[in-house]
Amino acid sequence: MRILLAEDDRFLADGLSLVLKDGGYAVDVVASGLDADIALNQIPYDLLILDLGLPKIDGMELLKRIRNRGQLLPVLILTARDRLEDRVTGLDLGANDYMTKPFQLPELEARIRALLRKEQWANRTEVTFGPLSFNTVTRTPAVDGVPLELSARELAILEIMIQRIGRIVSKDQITDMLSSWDTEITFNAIGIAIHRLRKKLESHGVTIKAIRGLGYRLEESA
Amino acid sequence: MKSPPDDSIRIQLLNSLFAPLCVLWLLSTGVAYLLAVGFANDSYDGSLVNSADSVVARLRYEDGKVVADLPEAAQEILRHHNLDKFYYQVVSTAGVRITGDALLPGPYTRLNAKEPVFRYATLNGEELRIARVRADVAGFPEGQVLVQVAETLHSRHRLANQILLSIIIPQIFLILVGGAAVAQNVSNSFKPLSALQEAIAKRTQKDLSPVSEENIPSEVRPLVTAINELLARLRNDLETQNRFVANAAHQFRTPLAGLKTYIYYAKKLLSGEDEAVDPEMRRRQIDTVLDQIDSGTDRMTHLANKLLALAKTDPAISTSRFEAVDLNFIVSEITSELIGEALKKNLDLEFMGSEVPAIIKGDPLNLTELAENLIENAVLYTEPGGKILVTIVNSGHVLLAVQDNGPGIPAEERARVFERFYRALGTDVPGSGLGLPIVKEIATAHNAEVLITTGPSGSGTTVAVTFPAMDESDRSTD
Repeated sequence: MRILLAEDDRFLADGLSLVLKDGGYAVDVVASGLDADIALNQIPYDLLILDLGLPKIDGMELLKRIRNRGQLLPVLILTARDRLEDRVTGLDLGANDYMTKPFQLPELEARIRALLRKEQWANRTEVTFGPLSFNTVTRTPAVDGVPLELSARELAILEIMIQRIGRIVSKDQITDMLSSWDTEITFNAIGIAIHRLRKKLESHGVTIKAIRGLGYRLEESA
Repeated sequence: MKSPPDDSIRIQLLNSLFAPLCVLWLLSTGVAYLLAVGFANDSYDGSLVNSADSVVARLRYEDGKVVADLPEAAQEILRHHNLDKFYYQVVSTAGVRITGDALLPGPYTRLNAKEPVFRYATLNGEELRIARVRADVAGFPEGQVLVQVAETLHSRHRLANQILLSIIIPQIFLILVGGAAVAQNVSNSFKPLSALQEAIAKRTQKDLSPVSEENIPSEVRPLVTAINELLARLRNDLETQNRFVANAAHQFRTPLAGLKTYIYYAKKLLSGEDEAVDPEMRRRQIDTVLDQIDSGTDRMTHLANKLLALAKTDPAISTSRFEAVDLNFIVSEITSELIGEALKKNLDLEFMGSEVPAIIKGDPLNLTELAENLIENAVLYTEPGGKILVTIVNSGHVLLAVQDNGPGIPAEERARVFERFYRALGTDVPGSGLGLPIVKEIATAHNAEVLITTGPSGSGTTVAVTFPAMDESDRSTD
């Protein structure tokens, strides 16, 4: 999951970025509305966390632009403005959630999960594929009720594959979703992670099939 | 009831109305009394002359003597008033007594007067009114005699007293009624004032709406208008203050959110035992987070201090604390304090004072704050390796200029940077958004102008504060 954090206060932005990365998300930080606009035009983010008081392009204006362009990614407004009018305006302009500063971190994380769940999992809290189940709330995969031990990268890749069951996921897509500007992930690293993941899954009747030239697909092994 | 103080308009008004009224009353009473007594006297005198004429009618010349045929009964008739004694005397034109009461003082003056002559005299300790007429006596060789009649003044005095009373009693009544009417009217004309007082006293401290100008006498209307203008200013100030407080509260929200975030992250690091992270590495991570928390609290402290400084300069710096100060001294001191900060960023911070002392009238603490904010801003926003020049020029007007070769402030933003919390240069650096508003506030209190221009080399920023020239009178006091 790749998140764009548009926040002009560097202190808060750095802290949030640390917390979100620790939660397994890829995070890019921009400090102005203009930079956010440019980034959103280039990278298919899964979520935008938006401060309203941004220099150059105001948060509300940016939100208007995004929605006018037809970009559908969920937007969470995170702002010091706590007036009712601001909240109503923000939500009416197409934001999906609105939180005022200062906020409780567990709540922010839960709301981010909820937004992503709606977007990626159509609100399902558990997805199953053969013997494999994936809890979208805790982000834990399990086989027959027994949790699977995975590294953060393996987990992220599995999550992407489960989201796209029956479809082929390209290496480019995986790279885009797992990288952020400061941690570029190489094709090679992804190959290694997929290899390990496949090994851990195979004994449980699920495999990742490589489709030459196109990418990978999650399949039940015979 | 409390007695009204001496400066009460009501008392002044009553005094100024009552005093002349009383003088007028005394005068009119006196004049009326004198006139009445005069008329009464004239009438008594007329009776006295009649009595004299009656005596004249009884004069005869018999046996070479002038005699007055006045038996006791006739004398009784001549005495008009029971209270008074009556005397008569016939005297020759030369003043020698011929007949009548011997005790009566003789005629002394104006013996030749043809008209009746009146005078006062004393007999046996009693006052007398004497009337004298000249009369012909048939057969008397000398031709004429003088007849004096006299009476005591008891009934005259009694009449005078009656007149006095008949004047004074209605006058007292009049003065009381008049006084009450005046007092009542004065009181009535103060009613709108009492109503006004009540209306203002009843207000809560939050009610700053204008006082109604209805039913206010024209004399009081300017006062009400002035009060309303003051209320409007207060309302405005309060709104500004409220906006400021709201803004200030907002300013704390973001760094607070940051602090919470780092604290949450630190806790997470400490509890994340399951991950195979090197303990040394985790310690370093926690150290970094603590450093961040530290700098975050520093920033909030800075913000709080700025807010406090602004609150102190707000709404007005008292000019009573102003003293003559040499700006060179103040600015050089604060510049040397900030040198450390500048060196940390590898900035070249230079101070150039004026050749002659730059004496201005001002508050040293506030002026220090002003200079500190200007230099601090330059240090914050100028990139490492940059140059900051602080100059003071005294060419009649004292000018303080801080020049840097930093990013500069776009011309269209220059007016807005004096707004609180407006941060033209973004928030990458830990500014508070309050520096220039504080500068502006202090400058305004010192009647100084603040001007932002592009730096001397066509880039960067120059902030110039021009102080007004000092009066000769001010100069002589130092």
